[in-house]
This record gives sequence, structure tokens and C-alpha cells, in this order.
Amino acid sequence: MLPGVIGVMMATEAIKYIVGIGEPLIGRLVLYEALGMRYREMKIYRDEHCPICGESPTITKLIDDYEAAAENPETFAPAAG
Amino acid sequence: MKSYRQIVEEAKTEIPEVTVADVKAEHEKDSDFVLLDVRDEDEYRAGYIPDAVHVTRGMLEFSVENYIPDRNQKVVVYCAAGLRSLLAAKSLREMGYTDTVSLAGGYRDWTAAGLPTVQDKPMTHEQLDRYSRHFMLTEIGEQGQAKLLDAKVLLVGAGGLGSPAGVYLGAAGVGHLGIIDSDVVELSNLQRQILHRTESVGTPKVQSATTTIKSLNPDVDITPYNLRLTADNVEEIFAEYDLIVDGCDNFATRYLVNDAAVLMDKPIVHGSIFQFEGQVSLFKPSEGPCYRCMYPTPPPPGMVPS
Repeated sequence: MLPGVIGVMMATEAIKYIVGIGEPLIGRLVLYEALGMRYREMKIYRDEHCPICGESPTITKLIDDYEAAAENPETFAPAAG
Repeated sequence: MKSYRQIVEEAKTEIPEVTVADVKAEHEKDSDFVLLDVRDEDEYRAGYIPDAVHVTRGMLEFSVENYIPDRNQKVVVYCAAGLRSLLAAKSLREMGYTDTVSLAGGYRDWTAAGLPTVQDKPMTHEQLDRYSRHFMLTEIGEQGQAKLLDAKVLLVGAGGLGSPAGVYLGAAGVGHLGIIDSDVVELSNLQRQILHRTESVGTPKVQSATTTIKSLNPDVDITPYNLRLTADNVEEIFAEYDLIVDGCDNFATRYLVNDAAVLMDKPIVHGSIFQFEGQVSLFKPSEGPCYRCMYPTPPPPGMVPS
């Protein structure tokens, strides 16, 4: 059941975005906990040190092999400089 | 008792009228005004003045605020010939709108002057019926439905998250859906992956997803991608879509989707689940954070939920 809740919330966000209505979830993360049946909202911020969308990104093109890189976090986000 | 002529004459004493030439001149000056079309649905459907906001006169008082929240906004109201617009403009004044005028001669004079009009993509009778509940929502209406029908959305994953998302996006009439998944349907998927059916076990998920969505809504044009998304194919695929709905189930794909979307400036609807918890967000490059702003790198192998 949990994926149904989350998947329908995703479809709702998609439709709001396409039609251009309401308040999009940009900069907000909605957390849902099924056992307690609780929703929480966290503000999320753009990180100026983000390796891809930060001010001096270290990732400027796609990594060759994401599956291999996922096994090794260091290759996943090359260190700055 | 008043005749309609008296009502119209009274309205004329309160509501200034403008001509088509006035509106055209204002438009050329780039003046800040809203054109409000108060005709009925079928009249509007046959064509309207570009950029006009449409609220039928019947729904005017109930929904105008959704479209024109600022009571001091200059509003030029028009109808077919300039009578209903006078009465509508008068109602707006009663609601506190301070600067409402009526277009004399209305849409008739506008077209007679050879000025441009636009028409939404005409919907079939079946579409008008199928999406009628959307039309009742003033925020969506026929224009919103037209946007949905024109939209191109890519579903990454036709599993637990992609299933409900795909079912609802298809039912709602998102016109173009791309679906990527390289898996085949397994019996253990069916407890939650509602795009698939018992008889689809052993067949590619994208095929079963296409069959389900098509039978739900034949309007939806579906492009199935029976493959794994990789750095080699992602750009070519993403280029076709306006929005990515990421319901993937592994970190390699999640980071690939994020990186490609940031580099290509595509918004991602993000969702993920683990056991009894789930999270949703919308990552819009340049306007807000991306997935890597939250999680710069994936957790060490072994910590990866499936």
C-alpha cells in the first residue's frame, strides 16, 4: 500500500507541475510514515557545495558507469579541486 | 420589474466600455490588463482572444478570484457582443474589483476587425465526457486538460511507484508517457505493482504497463523502453520529455536520473520508499535543490534498500 500513497503523490505533483497550479514541492520533502500514519515536511535547500548543481560543480558531465560508481562513493562525486 | 434593456442601460452608466481598437492599442503599449472571457464553454471552445482568461458568467463570482486575485487589476471583460460582459463587469465591481471595463461589440467585433484569435486543440465528444470532472475544477478546466494532453512525461520504473503514478497519469490524460523498465513481471511484484496482472507474469513490465494504461485510456500515446537507463542512452531519451517521474529502485539509476536531469535542466518528481516510510519532492534545477544536495553520494553497498 505504501508505494500507492507515494506514487499517487508523485502523480499529483506531476499534474500540478504540468497544469501550473498550486504550490509545487520544490525545496520541500514530504515524509510519510505508514505505521504511525503521519506526514511530515522538511525544508530542503540547495547546497552551494553540491557536486552537480553547486557553485563549482565537480560533475560537469555524466559518469561513465553509474552501476560501478554506485559501489564506490568516492568515484561517485569527485572531490572538489 | 426591469427589462433586460433597462438592466443593460443601468450597467452602462456604471461600467465604462472600450472598443476593440482601444484594446489593441493598449496591447501594443504592453499595458497591464487582463482580458476576461465570460462566454459559455462552447463559445470559448470555438475560439478566443489570445491570453484571455476564461470564466463563464455563470461561474464568475465563484471562481474569478482564482484567476484574478488582485482586486485592483485592470480587467477588460468580453463576451460575444458586449452585453453579458457589461453585466459581468458590474458583478465584478460589486465584488470589489475597481477597474473593470467591458469590450463593446465583444468577440464579434474583435474577429470582424481581423484580429488574432486562438483555439484550443479541439477535444472529441469522448474526451469532453472522459475529462468532464477535470473541467469542473476551475484550476484545471479545458485549458489545463489541454496542457495534460500535450505533456510528455517519462516514468522511470514501472514498479511499485511507477505503477500508481502511471495509472493516474494515464487516467488523467497525460498525452505522452514514456515508460522505462528492463524487468519482466514476477508474481511477487503483483502485491503492489498495480500496472501488472497475473496473466502478465513473465512478460516485460513495459509491455504489461502499456496494455494496462492503453485499456484505461486510449488517448495516451505510450513509448515503452524495455531497457536499463544508462549514461549512454539517458540523454537521448530525456530529450523527448518535459518532466521525469523517478520511481526507480536502485541508487545507480537514481543518481544517473538526477545528474542527467540537472545537466539537461529537466524537473524530476522524486519518490522513494523503504519499508513503511516514503518521501516525495520535486527537484527543479536552478530553482531548488537536487537529489545530490540532500545525498551527495549513495550509502555504502550493503546499506542499500531494495
